[in-house]
Parts: sequence; structure tokens; C-alpha cells
Amino acid sequence: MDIDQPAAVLDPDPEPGSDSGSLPEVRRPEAVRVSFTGAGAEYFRIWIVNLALTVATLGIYSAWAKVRRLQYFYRNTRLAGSSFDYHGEPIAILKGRIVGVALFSLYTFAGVISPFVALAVAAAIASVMPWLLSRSLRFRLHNSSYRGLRFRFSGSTSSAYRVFLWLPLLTVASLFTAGPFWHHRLKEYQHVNASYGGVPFEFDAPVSRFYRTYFLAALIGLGFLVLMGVGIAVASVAAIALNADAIAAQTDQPPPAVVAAIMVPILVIYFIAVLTLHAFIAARVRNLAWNHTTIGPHHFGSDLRARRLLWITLSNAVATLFTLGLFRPFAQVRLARYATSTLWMQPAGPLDEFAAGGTSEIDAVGEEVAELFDFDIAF
Amino acid sequence: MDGTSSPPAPAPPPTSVPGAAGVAARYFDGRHSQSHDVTLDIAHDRVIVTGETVARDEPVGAVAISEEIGRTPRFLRLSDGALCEVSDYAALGDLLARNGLTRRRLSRWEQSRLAVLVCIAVLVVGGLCGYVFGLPFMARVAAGRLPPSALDTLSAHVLLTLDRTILEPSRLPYDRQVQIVQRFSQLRFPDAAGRRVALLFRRSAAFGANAFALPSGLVVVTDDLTELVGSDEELLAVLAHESGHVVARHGLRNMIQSSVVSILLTWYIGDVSALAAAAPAALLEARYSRELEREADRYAADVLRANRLSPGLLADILERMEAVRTREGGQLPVALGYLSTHPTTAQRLAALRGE
Repeated sequence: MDIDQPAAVLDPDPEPGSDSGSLPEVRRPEAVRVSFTGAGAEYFRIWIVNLALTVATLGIYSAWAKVRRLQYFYRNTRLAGSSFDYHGEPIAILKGRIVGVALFSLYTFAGVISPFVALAVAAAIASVMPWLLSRSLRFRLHNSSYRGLRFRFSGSTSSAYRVFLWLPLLTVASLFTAGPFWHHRLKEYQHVNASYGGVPFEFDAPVSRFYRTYFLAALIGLGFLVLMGVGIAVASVAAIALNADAIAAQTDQPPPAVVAAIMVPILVIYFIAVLTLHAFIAARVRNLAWNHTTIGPHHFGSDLRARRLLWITLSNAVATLFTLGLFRPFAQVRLARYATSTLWMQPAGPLDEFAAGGTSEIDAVGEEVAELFDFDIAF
Repeated sequence: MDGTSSPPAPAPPPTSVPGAAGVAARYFDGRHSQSHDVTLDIAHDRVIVTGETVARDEPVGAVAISEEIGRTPRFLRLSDGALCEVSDYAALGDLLARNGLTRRRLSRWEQSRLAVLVCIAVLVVGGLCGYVFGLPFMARVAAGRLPPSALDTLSAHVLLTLDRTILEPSRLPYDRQVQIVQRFSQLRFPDAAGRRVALLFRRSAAFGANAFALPSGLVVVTDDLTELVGSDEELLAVLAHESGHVVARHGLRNMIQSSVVSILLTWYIGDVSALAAAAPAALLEARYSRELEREADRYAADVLRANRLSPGLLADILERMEAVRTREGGQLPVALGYLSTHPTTAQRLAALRGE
């Protein structure tokens, strides 16, 4: 369903003619789609066994479960006839998780004692987080392989502090006007410092395109605000009309029906707005980043569609909720299937010239701590 | 199987191998990304890799064979890092089985219907036990370990916030306040912990006739409650109930239980649905809260009996509070009982008056 699609037709993010992305011409020879071959029912069995063993071992097995999950997803991801593989060591991940849980409990516990202690602990954690995040990227890539060669990540600690601490602070200080700039630098940091078989990835997306994406996102957000206002107005007029006598009898507090009439549209629209904006920005930025990423003479491309992504995440969330979580493995496979099928590579020749670089051991503390504090750097 | 017996010898072209002998694979030398089409076979405990450009063989023991995970490709890593990638997982499985290399227990479980059902049972039973016994037990132990100074700072912050928002200074005459405090101080508690309780008087439109306890032992009584009670004994009954919350550190236990429930649910439901996890979390937390209310009711009944007062006093004032609530806000439908943080008044009255 994916490889036979001519890639250029699906591109929702066409390059404006003179842009540095020379993709339209280069793409003419056969582009190779990345594909995902996993199946929901198959992953369900792996997931449920993982989950049961995790519960039975009070969480210790979760490190092994994570390796098995990632191996299932990596090995089902194929490009040009070969699969990816994941090599993370469960023991390294377990150690990382223990450190993460300790830090997280410290943080939670500090909040109980006093907000000032909590603030101090949060500041201390924030000051090491950039370092942990760079270690996290390093661990992930060093443990990923394709055709028997590992990926590498060489981002320096100082640039990690720039990207994960200084730029976020700047973003807040600039009242979020520097946000798109930060997102650009974040993607650049991730792509430029990655390499495969001794060849670094290159990244040349212009910052202006990030600003355009966020500007459109802001317009969508504004639309939702208007919608929310109208929804509240209509709902409260209806509720007041239907409960007129209850309101007349009562002076201090609004009756529950009116409160519900205001809260329900706010929550529903807020939920949909968050998912929509997330899908829009995620899809645009993903396309933007990969359409401007190269490795050696080979180009990449992406045509993830925000609307399709929104439908998948929204229906996944609803189905997961109504099946008490049992749909989750199917949801993950469904998302992976779509997300991988929208990524392709434009090889300039056979993928034969990559050669192994040096090796080094990385611990998993960064990745596990970042995960526990819910930092999603894949975004 | 036993066709290729001479190790590195003249490599037969893969196409000439009939049916069962060998599995098609892609070979990578571990130093370059170049792919070589090869045939993989096992004979005499040696792994044999043959192709137009490749002729390798190694003892089976020296080759790392990746585990079977679903129908994903499998990897055989030779001792020098060279790699064979096999997409035909089924043919490789047969080849390994014929050579006595059996599947690991984990992948057998994943493919057995029975094992999957057992896993679901483990999850349901484990989840229920954790929810009903495990977490409340852990929360009780953890709450008991926290030093009183931590409770004091925590409560001081909560009170400060409430005073700034929905609480006002009490308008109850000073004499009446003293009288209530005196009556309360004459109350005998079954344990020393009851002496940590101290009373505070506040006025609040939002709370109405109510009383609530802070973890440090401060119990806030609203002016409306002092007016609603039919007698001082009824007020003592409410205070005994709130003391029950203080003595057993309910506030803290509730906080710990709620945060663990929401963390686990967010992790389980996952991804974008953090918001979606809030509703089931509220449902699960409400049950804990009702349990704590029942515990405080039982404590209050014990205290009242120890002071030769009837537990029915608490029932009387609860009924009065319920009547006010019904008059003002309309009653919750019975179906919403699962969302309620308190047991239904009918249940509590029956428990207090019945036995």
C-alpha cells in the first residue's frame, strides 16, 4: 500500500520553487519507502505478556519489556529490503529507571515538604536535564542498527545546554515568539549530530518555514477559541432557559446544570484542540525536517498528513479508553504503520558505501530519567 | 540439513539448493553496509553461510542468534560482528528446530492462547489486589513515616491558600468558640494521637455547614455547622469523625494514593491521552476516598462510645447536613454514587445506627 505510491503526489508540504530542497528533480528515480510490517494482533500478545511479567515482578521486568517492544518495532521497520534492530541492554535500562524513579520520588516528596524545597529540587533536576537528554539521544542511536552498522550521536554537552535549557528560557522570556526558532534548533541538533556508518546526517531546513508552521497553528488555535466561546454561549443560554426556576430560587451558587453546560464544551473543545494542534505541528515539522535532511548523496522525504494523523490519534485515544486500555497495542501498531509509511528515502545509488565507525558504551540513565519526567524529544 | 558437510569449500550457488537445504539470508560483514545474498545452513553443529562472494562457517555456539519476536526478521551475528539477516522467520525456525535449537519460553508464551489468557488473568487479579490492598497498604506505611514537621508546613500552606480564597474569619462569638473548644478538650480519645487535634473557626459560603481536617491536626469548623447542629454533642460527633481523619493521616494517604493512581493510569493509557486518563483516575480515587470516610465514621463511633455518647449523634448531624444539601443543590442521581468521594448518607446512617 505504500511503496507503489509515487511520493511526490502525496507531498502536502511542497517546496516553493527556488528553495534549497532540490527534491522534486532528485526524487524521480525510484524512491524507497520505509515500511512497517507489524500487526496489531501479533503485538497484542507480546504486549500482554510484557505487561503481565512487569506486574508480576513489580515493575522490574519493565526494562526487558521495553527492549522487546522496541525490538518488535525496529525489526518490523524496513527500508530497502533490510530491517532496523535495537540493541539496548535491559540491565542498563533498569539502572536508568531506578535513577529516574529515585529522582522523581525526590521531586514529588519535596513538593509535600515545602514548595521552596520542591523548587530547589526542580531547579537541580532542570540543570542536569540537558545533559541527560543528550545522553538519551546518544543511548538510543548507539543502540540502533541497520545492515549490521550502528547509528551514532555526537551532540556535545554544551550544545545540549543551549538547546534544552537556554533556548527554552529564551522562548519563555520572548513570550513564545522564539518558540519556532527553538524547535528548528532542536531538530537541527537531533539530525546534524546523528550519523550512520561514519557518514553524518545533514539538515538545511530554513527557520522561516518553522515560523510559517507555527503561524498557521496559531490561526487554528484562534479558530478553536472562537468556537469555544460560541459553544459556551449557546450551551449556557440553553441551560439557563431550561433551569430558569432553579436559578430564581438560588442566589449564591449557579446550579449544577449551568456549570455542566459551561464545563462540557470547554473540556471537549479543549481536548480536540490540543490533539489537532499537536497533529498539525507534529506532521508539518516532521515533513519539514525530513524533506531537508540528507545523508551523503541520499535524500529523505516525508509526507505525513496532519488530518490523517489527527484521525488516527483521536480514534486511538477513544478506542483505548473504551477498551480499558486493551486497544493500546493495536493503536501503537496503527500509528507506527502510518508514520513509517509516510517516510521515504531517495538513494543516489546502492546503499553500500557506509562503513563502521568506532564503538563506545553508553548508559541508559538519560533516556530513562527523561522518559519518567515525560520529556518527549521525539516531537 | 546435512547436505553441505565440507565447511568453507566450493560454495554452491544458492539457486541450485533444493527446497529444504538452507535458508535465504542477507549477509553484512559488520564493517560495510553492502548487502550480499547468501544461503544459511546448519550442519554438524556449524553455521554455514554461502554465497557468490561469501563463504563462512562457525560453530553454532559462537553465533549469537536473535530471539524470535512475532514474525520479525531474525539476525545471526558471527563472532567477528558479521551479520546474517533472515526475513523468512518460519524457515529459520524450522532449521533451528531440526538442529535442536529450541525456541525460548517467552516466544512460546506469546504464541500460546492459554498463556495470553493467563496473562490477562494475572493482570486483572494483580491490578485488583494492588488497587484494593497493595496501594492502600503502601500509602499507610509511607504516610506514617513522614515527620510531623513536614505535615505542619504542608498544612500551613494549604490553610494559607484557603484563607486567601474561600475562607473568611469566623463571626462566631468568642465565648461560644471557647465553649466548643472546652467541650472538645474534655473528649477522651482511645489513643494519644487524638490529642494532636486543634480547632479553628472559619466562615465560608462555599463549604456551607461543614468541617474538614488538615494533615497537621487542625480541624476547621464553619460557622454554619455550629448553627446547624441540634446539640453540642452532635458537633462533638463531627469533630470525632474529623479526628479520625487526622489520627489515621487520611489526608496524606489520599494524596499518595491519588498521585500513584494518576501516574500509573497515565502510563497505562499513555501518549496523548493524559487528559483521557483523568476521568478513570477520578473514578478509582473516589473509591479510596469513600473508604477513608467509612474508616473515620468507625473511629468517631468508637470515640463517642468511649465517652458514653451514642454513635447515632453523628448519624443525626449527617442527616441534617444532607437535608441542607438536598434543599440547596439538588441530589446526585444514584448512578453517580461511584463518582462521589463520600459514601451515600443512607449507607453511613445505616452503619452508624444499625450496629
